[in-house]
Amino acid sequence: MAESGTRDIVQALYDAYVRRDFNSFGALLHDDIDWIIYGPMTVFPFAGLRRGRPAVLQALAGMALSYSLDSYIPDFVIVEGDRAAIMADLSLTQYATGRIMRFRVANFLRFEDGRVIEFREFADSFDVVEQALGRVVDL
Amino acid sequence: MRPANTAANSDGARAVVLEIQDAFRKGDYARIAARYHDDIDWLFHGPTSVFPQVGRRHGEVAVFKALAALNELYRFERYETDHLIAEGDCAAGIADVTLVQQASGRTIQCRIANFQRVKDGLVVEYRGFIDSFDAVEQVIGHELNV
Repeated sequence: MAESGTRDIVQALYDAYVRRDFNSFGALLHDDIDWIIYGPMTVFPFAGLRRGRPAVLQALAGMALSYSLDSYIPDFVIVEGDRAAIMADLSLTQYATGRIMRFRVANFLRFEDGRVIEFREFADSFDVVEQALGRVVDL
Repeated sequence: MRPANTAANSDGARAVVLEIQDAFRKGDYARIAARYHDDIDWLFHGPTSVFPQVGRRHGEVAVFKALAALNELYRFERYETDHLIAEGDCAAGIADVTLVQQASGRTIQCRIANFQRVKDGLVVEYRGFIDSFDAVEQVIGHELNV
């Protein structure tokens, strides 16, 4: 796929996510998507491996039950062929406590037939857990 | 990290990342440092309470010291990059990494995401990400009580 096509899909995907437009977002996910958010499922049940569009949308719906997305700003994007790598600043509010969480994420995406077939998300998950719990994690 | 200069040739960024990967694989820290710019801005996102070597470092000397300290505690067994993407003067990849903790002999397996910007054949910006919660549990050898 040409870089310009991939970049356009990346833009459309993140725009849809920020708008919480899950219909448009879901339409950009491949049926057979392989999706991982790296982090502890004990604290973030929506993290971990998901296969297939319904499973991904279900995980995102689970996230939306506990957190509101305040901002998601991809400020670094590189694209090569059918792949893209992104860094973004993310801000969430935890509904239960009103606690605001801010952290940086790294996303790696691969596209097939104009849709995301592979997604990997990294963050400093130890820090994100401490923000979610509102306390230092005892070692 | 500044946006990529897409007018630059991505071959340079790719070649530097692959060379650093090869040096990591061989534990050749001097060769890694030789590929870092004097004024490198280096940031590895992770808890410094468990990994004092992470966090932010400015300059080749500070980065080399952090890597040398890492090498005192851990031995790299495997460092294989996949998902390597290069555009302009930047490259990003995900590496499958296996480390052995020297003190305990414990094997630690993780995926490290990295972003690098290259100038004059040297890395001038670096950002690293890891599932740090999982890495901490592996390093301390037990599950965290949350």
